[in-house]
Amino acid sequence: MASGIISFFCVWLFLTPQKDTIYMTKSGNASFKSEAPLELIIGFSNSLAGVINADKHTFAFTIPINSFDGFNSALQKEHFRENYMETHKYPNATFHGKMIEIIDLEKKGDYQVRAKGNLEIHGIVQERIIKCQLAINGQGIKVSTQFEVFLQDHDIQVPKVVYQKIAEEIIVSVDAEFVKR
Amino acid sequence: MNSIFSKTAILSKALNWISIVVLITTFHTPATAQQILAKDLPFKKEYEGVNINKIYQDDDGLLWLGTTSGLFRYDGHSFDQYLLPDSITDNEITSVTQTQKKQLWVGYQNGNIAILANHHLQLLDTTFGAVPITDILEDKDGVMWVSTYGEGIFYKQDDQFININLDDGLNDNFIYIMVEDTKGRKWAGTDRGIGICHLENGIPKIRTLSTSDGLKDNIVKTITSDEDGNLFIGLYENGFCKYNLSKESIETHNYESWPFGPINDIEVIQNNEIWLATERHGIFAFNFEDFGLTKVMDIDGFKNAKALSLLKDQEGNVWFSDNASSLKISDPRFKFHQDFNKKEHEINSFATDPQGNIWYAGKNSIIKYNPGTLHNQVIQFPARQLPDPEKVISTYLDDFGFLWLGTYEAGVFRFDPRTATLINVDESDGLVNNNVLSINGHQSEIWFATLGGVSRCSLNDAVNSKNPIFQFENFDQEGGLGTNYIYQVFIDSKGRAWFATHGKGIAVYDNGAIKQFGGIDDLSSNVIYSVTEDAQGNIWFSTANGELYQYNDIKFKNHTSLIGQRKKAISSIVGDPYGNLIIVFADGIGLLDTSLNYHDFRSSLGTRFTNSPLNATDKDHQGNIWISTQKGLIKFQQHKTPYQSNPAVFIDNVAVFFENVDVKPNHQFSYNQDHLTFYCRSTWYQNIEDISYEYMLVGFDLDWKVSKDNHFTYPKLPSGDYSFKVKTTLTSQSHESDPAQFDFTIVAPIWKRPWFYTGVVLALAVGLFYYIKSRERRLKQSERMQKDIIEFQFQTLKSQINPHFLFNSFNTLIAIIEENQSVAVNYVSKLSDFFRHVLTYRDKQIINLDEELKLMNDYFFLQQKRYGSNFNIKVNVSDRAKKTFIPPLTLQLLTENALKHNVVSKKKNLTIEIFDQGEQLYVKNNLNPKTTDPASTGFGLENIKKRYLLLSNKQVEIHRSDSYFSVMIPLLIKIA
Repeated sequence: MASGIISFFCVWLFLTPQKDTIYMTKSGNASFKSEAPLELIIGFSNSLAGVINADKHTFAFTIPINSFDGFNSALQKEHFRENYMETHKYPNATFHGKMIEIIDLEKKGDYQVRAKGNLEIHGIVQERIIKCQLAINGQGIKVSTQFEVFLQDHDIQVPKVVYQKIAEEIIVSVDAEFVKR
Repeated sequence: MNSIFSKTAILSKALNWISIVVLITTFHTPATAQQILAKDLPFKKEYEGVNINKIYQDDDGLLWLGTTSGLFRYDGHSFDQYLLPDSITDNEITSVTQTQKKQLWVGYQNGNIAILANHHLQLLDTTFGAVPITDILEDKDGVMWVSTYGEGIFYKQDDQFININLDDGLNDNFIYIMVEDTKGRKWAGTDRGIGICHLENGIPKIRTLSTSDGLKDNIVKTITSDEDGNLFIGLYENGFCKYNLSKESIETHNYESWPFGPINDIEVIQNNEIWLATERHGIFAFNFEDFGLTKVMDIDGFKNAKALSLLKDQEGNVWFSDNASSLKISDPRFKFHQDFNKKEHEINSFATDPQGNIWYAGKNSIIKYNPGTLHNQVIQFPARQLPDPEKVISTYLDDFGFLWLGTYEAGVFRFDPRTATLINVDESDGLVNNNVLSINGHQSEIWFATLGGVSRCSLNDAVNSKNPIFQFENFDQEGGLGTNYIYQVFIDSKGRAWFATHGKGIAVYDNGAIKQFGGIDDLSSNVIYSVTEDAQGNIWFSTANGELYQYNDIKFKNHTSLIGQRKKAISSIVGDPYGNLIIVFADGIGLLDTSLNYHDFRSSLGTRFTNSPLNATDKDHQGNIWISTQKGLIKFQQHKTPYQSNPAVFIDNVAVFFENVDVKPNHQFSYNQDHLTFYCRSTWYQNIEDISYEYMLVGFDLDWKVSKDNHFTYPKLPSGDYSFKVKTTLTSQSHESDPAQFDFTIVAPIWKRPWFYTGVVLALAVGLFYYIKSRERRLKQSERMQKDIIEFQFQTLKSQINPHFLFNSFNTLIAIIEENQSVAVNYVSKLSDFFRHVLTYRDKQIINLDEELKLMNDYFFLQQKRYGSNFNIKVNVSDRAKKTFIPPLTLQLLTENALKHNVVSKKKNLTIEIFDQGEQLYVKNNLNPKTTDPASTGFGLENIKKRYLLLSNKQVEIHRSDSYFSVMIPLLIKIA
C-alpha cells in the first residue's frame, strides 16, 4: 500500500523537470461525511499526500482508503473497507490535474482556485472541477476544500438494506499544508 | 408577506344593488413554478447503462445518438445501433455531425473519427492523439474542423489535418465545444475562456475571450447560436451569457447568482427562450421576457439529473439525455400550470390582464394568479357574495381594468381590482337574463351573451362613478336573434359583435342591426359553440358537431376537412397574433396555420390534456393562448419559427430477396434480381403512428397504394424501367409530403434483349430461306426425275396398245371384205383415219375430250361394221366437259374392252353410254358377259389406271353390278 503511494509520486516526480518549483505535503487531512436519514457516518484520515508543481500549475494527491478511521463501529469500518470500497482491489483514491486559475504560488494571500483533474475512487475515474481555498504565507501553502462524491459516479454499491443509513452523496473535506521541496 | 387593502363599502339602495362590505386581505401563496413536461423514450429500457452524450438530427430528420456504446439511429420506431467493425473496446462517441455532402462524421472518446457510409462506420486514417473528439464541423468554406479534449483544434488543409494548440496562442488544449458563427469564425470553449479562430489566407488567426472581456466564467462548456447569429455561452459557474454578434460584445442576464451549477448544453428554442442542460439539476427553460426559469420535468421528475445533450428538432420538439441512460422529448410550446390550483376546482373561465396575470373566480374569492415563471404567486381577494366557482362561467377584463364575471342564475359581477369592490348586476338592473355565458367588449362597449338573448351596455358614464348606472340594450329571440340561447359573443377588430347561437347559426350585430346568416352551404349544425377572428381579419366559428367555418366578409367556407373530420365537439377556437387558429377539442388541441396546414398536438399533450370547458380560453398580451383544462391551465405559444409541418420521407435502403444492397440512382438490377424490397423512412416524432405511406412502382402499379408499413416488397418483377415513389401523409392532417423517388432498371436477360431477338429472327429467316431454297431445288430435281420416269412408262404403255387394236381391226376387216367390198373400202379408210388420229395423239399425254370422242367415233364405226345394230354408243357429254382433257385412247380402250367381254348379238345388244357428271366422265355398258370369257389380259383397264395415277391424283373407279359395268374417269383440266 505504502509502496503504491511511493510509486505514484515517483512516476509523477520523474515526469517533472528538476528546475520546477515543487511543493509537497507536510500534513494532509481528509474526512468524509455520510449524512443519511437514519445514520451519520464520519471518517477521517491524516495520510493524504500530495505534490503541487507551482510552475506548471499541476498537482497530484493520493490517500490510502484503509487509512480512514472513525465510523460508528468496527463492523461498519470493515464493511466500508471490504464491501463498499473494496480496498484490496482499489487501495487508494487519487486526484491529479491542473489548476484552472493561474496564480503565483509565491505570492502571499488567500486565493480561490478551481482544480480540474481526474478523481479516481473505487477504480472509477471521473473528471472533476473542485473549488479549493489556498492560503499562501511565507512558509508554504495551505489547501482546503470540500466537495461531494456521488456513490453512483464511482460505482460504489450499497445494499438496499443499508440504503437509509448511507447517503448517496458523500461530503469530502480536505485540509493540507504544503511546503517547498 | 401580507398586505392589507382598504375596506370599502358600497351601498346603493336606489338601484337595489347588493351591498358589499368586505374585509379584503390579500395573501401570497407560494406555488410550484410553471412546468414543461417531457416524455420518456424507451432507450433506457433497451440500453440501460448506455448514456447518450450527443443528440444530433440530420437533414432527413433522423436522430443520431452518440453514446457510450456506439452510434444509434432513431426514426421514431426503433434504435438501430452502429458499432465500429472489429472493435469491441471503445465505441464511446463524443461528437456527431453531418457534412454538406450528407456524410455523417462521428468522433470518438479515444481520438478516432469514423464516417458512416452505406450503413457502415469506416475509420478515418488520421488520428488526433488519444484524446476525445469533442466536436467536428464543416465550415462555410467546406473546411473540416475537429476539436479535441487535450490536443487543441485541427483543421483540414490539402488533405492534412493541421493542429492549432496552446503554442499557437490558443487558450487551452482542452476544448469542450466548437461552433461556427455567422461570420465564419470558429468558437472554441475551454477552461480558460473562448478561443476564436479563423483562417486568413490559409493561416489561422486566434483571438481569445475571457473574464477580462466580461465573460462571467472562464470555463466555457457550451456555445450555441440563435437565428440572428448571437451566441449563448454556457458556463461552469454563473450560468450563461450572450454574445451579441452585431455589437461584438457580451451581454449578461440579470441573475445575481446562478444556483444551478455548470451548464452542459444550451438550445435556442425561439428568440425569447433558451433551454439549459445543467450538470446536476436537469433541464431549465429560460425566458428573456420575464427572466423566468421553467423546470422541464417528466413523470419521474428528472430533478437532479446530469443533463448531457439538448436538441431542438425540425418539428419543434426538444430532446435531451442524461447520465442515467434517459432520452426524453418535450414540446416547448406547452407550459403547464397545474399545481397552483391544487385545492381548487376546474377553472370554467378566466381572463388575462396586460401584466400577464390570470384572473378567475375562486371559492368566495377572486383570484389573481401571476404565472411569472420566477415569482409566480396566487393572490386571493375575498368576494363572499360570488356564487360557487363552478357557477362562474364567463370572465372578461374590460379596457378600464374592471373584471366582469358572468354566472349561472346570478347575473354578472363587476370587480374593481384597484378598490377590491364587487357589484352585482342582474335582470333587475335591466340585464336580459341572469345566466351569462359569455362577456366580451370593445372600448366602452360591453356585450353579454345569456340564455335569454344578448345585452349591450355602454360603459362611458359608469366607469368613473362610484354608484354606476348601467344602461342595457337587449336583443332576444324576437329582436332578430331567432333564439335566446347564445353561447358566445365575440367583438371583432372592426367592432362588430358576433353571436354563436344555439340552433340559429351565426349572427352579427353591425351598424345598429342584427344580421342572421342563413343558408350557409352544408352547415349541418346550427348550434355554434365558438367564434373568433384570426390575425388576417377572417371570422371563424365552430359548431357543436365539430365543424369549422371561415367567413372572409364575402362568403363562408367550410374548413372542417382540414382538421381531419374528427366529428368531435370543438370546445373553443381562438386566433393567435401570428395568424394561427388554435382549436381546442375535448382531448387536445390543434392549430391551423396561415397556409391552412393543420397541426395536431394531441400526442404532445397526451393525458395531460383533459376536457376543456366551453370557451375557457384567452389570449394574453404576449400572444400566448391560455387554455383551461380539468388538470389546470395550459399556456400555448406557437413559435414564430416555421417548423416542418409534415413528415419528410426518403428511401433508406433497397433489398434484393430481403438482402440489403448498395444502390445508386438509376440502378441496374440483373434479370434474376427481380425480388425487390424498398425500406422507407419517415420521421414524425410527435406521433410516429400518425404516418401513412403512399407508394407506387411506376411501370408496375397503376395507382398509389396506402400502407402503414414502411417497407414494400415486389416479387417477380419483369424486366423494364421502373420508378419507385413514396410519400407520406399524417392521418391527423390533410396534406402530404413531397414524394421520394428511386429510379431503376431490371435488365432483361440476354435472351430477352431486343438485339438478341432481332438476331435470332434474322438467323431464322436466313436459315428458313436457305432451307426453302434447297428444298425447292430438291423438289424440282425429283419432279424432273419423276416426270422422266412417267414419260418413259407412258411411252411404253402407249406403244403397247397398237398391236392389240390392229389385231382386232384386221379380224373385223377380214370379215367385211368377204361380205361387202365397198363397205370394206370405207372401213379401211376409217381405219386409216383412226390410225392417223392415233398417230397424231400418241405422242401426247393428254388430249381434248372432244378429240378423243371423235377418235372413239371412228373406232365405233369400225366396230359397228362388225356388230351392226347390236352395238350402240350413246354419247351425252356437255360442252364444258368437252373442253377438258383425257389421256388419248382411253374411251377407245374401254369400248374395246366392252366388246371384248360381252356377248353382242341380236338378242343381247351392247350399249355403251358415255356421259359426264361433275368432274367425272362415265363410261357405262350393260353386261352380257361371254360364257367363254376370253382370257383377260387386264391390260386395258390397268393401263388406264396407271396412266391416271401418273397424271393426276384422281382415281379411276370401276363399278360392276349384275347388269352393268361402269368406269368413272376423272376429267383433267390442263394446267400447263
